[in-house]
Amino acid sequence: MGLTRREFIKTSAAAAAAASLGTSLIPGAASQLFADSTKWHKSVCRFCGTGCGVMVGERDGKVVAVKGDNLNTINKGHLCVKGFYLHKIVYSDTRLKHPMIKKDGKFQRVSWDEALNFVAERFNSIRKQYGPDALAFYGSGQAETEETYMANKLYKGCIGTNNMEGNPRLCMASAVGGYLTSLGLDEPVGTYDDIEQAEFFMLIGSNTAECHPILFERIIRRKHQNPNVKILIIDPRKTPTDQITDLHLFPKPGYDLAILHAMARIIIKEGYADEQFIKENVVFKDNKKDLTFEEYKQFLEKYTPEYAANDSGVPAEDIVAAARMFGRAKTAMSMWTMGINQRTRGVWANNLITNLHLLTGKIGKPGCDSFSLTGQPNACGGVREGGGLCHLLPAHRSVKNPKHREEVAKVWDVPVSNIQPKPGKHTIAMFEALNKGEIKGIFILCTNPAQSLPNAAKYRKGLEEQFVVVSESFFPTATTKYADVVLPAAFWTEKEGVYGCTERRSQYMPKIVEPLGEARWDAFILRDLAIRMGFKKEFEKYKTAEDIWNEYISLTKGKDMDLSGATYRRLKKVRGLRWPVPSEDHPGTYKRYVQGDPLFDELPREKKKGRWIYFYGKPEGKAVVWARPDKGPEEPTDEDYPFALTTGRVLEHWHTATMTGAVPELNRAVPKAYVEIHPEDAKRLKISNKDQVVIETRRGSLKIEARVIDRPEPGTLFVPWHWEEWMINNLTIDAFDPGSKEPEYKVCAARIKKA
Amino acid sequence: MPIAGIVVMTDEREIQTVYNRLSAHELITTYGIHQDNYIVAVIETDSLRQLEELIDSLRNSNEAILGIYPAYINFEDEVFDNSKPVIEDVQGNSPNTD
Repeated sequence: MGLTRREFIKTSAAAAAAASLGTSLIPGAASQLFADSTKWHKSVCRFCGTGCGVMVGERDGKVVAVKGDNLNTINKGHLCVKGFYLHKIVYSDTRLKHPMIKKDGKFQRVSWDEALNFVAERFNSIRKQYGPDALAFYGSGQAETEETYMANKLYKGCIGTNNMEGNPRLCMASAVGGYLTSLGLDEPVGTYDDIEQAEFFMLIGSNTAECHPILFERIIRRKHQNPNVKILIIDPRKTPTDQITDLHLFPKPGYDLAILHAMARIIIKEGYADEQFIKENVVFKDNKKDLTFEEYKQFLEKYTPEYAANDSGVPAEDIVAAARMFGRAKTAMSMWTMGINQRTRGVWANNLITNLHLLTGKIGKPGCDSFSLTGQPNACGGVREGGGLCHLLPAHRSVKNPKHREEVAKVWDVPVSNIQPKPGKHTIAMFEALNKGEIKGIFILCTNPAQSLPNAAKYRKGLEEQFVVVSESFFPTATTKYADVVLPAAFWTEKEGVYGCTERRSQYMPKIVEPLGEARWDAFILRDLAIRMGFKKEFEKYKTAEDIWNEYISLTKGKDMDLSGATYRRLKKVRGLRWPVPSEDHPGTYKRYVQGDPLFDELPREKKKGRWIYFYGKPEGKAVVWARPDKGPEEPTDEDYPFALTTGRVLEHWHTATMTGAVPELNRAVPKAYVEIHPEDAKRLKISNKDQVVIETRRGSLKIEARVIDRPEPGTLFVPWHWEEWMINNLTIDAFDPGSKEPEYKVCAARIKKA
Repeated sequence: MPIAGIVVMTDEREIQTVYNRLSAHELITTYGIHQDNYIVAVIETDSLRQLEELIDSLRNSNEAILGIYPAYINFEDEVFDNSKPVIEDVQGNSPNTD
């Protein structure tokens, strides 16, 4: 019997879905079903930081299908709804296909030679006249590690400026600060594997269901398999994540630090603390000095449930219940995202979450972790690990450290004096410097700061006045409007490289099809620009992506994030490797700081002194429980601005929607921005559903449609931030955490009225 | 004409009701209940828009549906004119195309 192609595809679709559950509908036939003219390539999803494995179907040089990768243990064959439309993005009408230079106010198509020569001449001219710090680079957690590595070398190693930043500053810098100060080294102790072993989940500042749907599925699956599993949500807003919660605390936006302290107090008072773990593995500090455990307990005395309730608006009995849920569970996993990180005290909030794990000893064991979720696919791999921020060098090195500068300069084959010892300008300072004319030329790669910066209108002056180069796959964006030169960048499936996701896993992505039009791989755009700027010796050696990766992983050898065993040869075969992976025969590491972590295993016996966990990034291997003050938002509500405005994502869109906005189906699903307002507030202000309203903050105003819904608490407004036409970031505040320099997108004071 | 293989995660207590409802839908073919709370199904629609609207309506209209996860999406009709080709069966097997 013959099959029509449609029948064949339908059967293949059913088989793939069943296979994702480990079931075969047609025993033995699944692999044959897919053995048609479509070639399947193992890759990684382009969207969030979960790192889902995808198989990309290619026929006659075109991407024609996508399926979840059954062999990838992250998503086990499943995808979220955005996966439906990956192909549409590759072939979207908004793809930028050739270089352009703005001449007389209009973009004109030019050759690659003309574009790159023009940029090289302008950058060299600026450098010669004003010095290297008059140039800057602003990159992305969506760029491949190889791409960020090339920019890092060009700017820090050759041009000689540390004015190199990336948009992860805006989303996860506070998590970096939290891990460094609490545990001594960046990135989580555990992995996603802990989900299947946890008895308790605390989801705080995270709409997991919409922003990390595959991880949400794993949590649901865990709860389904074990009804004793409890889920606590701490978030100012009701979201689809609530469908599985056992208890939801709704703090006023920005007022959750006291809750976390109160939970710690209850945990200790009611005997849930692990005294032995604390004695062996923990020290206590406040912002000025070391503390004893007793002094820490004294610090906590202020944080009664009633105090925290008064501060946050959460009922005291719910805070007690939450602490008991955490304390009573044998294992506990916390997860958070921007609701914690995008705060003026984001680092402190991170610390206080980790405090709960350190006090109860629920860290370093299966099913236990203080686990920051990532928003971009390679923010961890390319920027945190690759050193793509103004104070970092590759492999968790610092520009301040002379030994680190020497190590990197040697591999880069540049004079060590090229690498400046002082950190460059962090993101907000960088765009302020553009406004002031201190920075006169910037290369922006794979990101859209004209829309994504907080208080965005303030920073357009610099973009308008200075020399701006944008390398992008899409055109136009809010940022390309200000560009002097736009360079077409190859997109997902059109280039090879590595993404490193939330759980320390690096995964290889192949080049499957040729780039559209004249688009080129960003790493080679940077290489060719560098050569034209006069750095031929330093850059001409990079002929392939593997050349770049090999040099990068040589810099990781012996570091806490050792990737030297994660060669392309291996990565092409496996579904990623979780560092440290110090040799080609090493399987990667499930848990850091404990047996099985090669760095722990190599520690001398006399150093470990019989301890099963050793935080080797901290003196004596002891993590820090922090007594941080509770602090509310930078801009509290008041009589003039009585609402707390918070922003976030919806399932169908991603970031500034340069990708998802190119998909008509996703646009139709959520075609425009809106403001969620609680029915009580709406009634008082005589606002009805779908009314046009005006939101005002001290920075600007926005006319937008109202959605009257009980998702936000009374007194809170929520606006998704994806649309340039309804640019809520003109209203958000650009105050930032003094430690992480991450802005407080998540809360500012606002008012609302009917338009 | 997109075809999607999906996995529908449901409240275990309501799975048979959900399964019956999906099976009755003219654009959905079901392929059994698996692991107590998953339903395997294939959706065939005339356009991606229709597919997306159908998934949205399923997700929003039944609280027993906890999640819908695509596992396979074919959209080659959009890339090529794919109305004609017919291929032979798979080495003698005749997959149940229902």
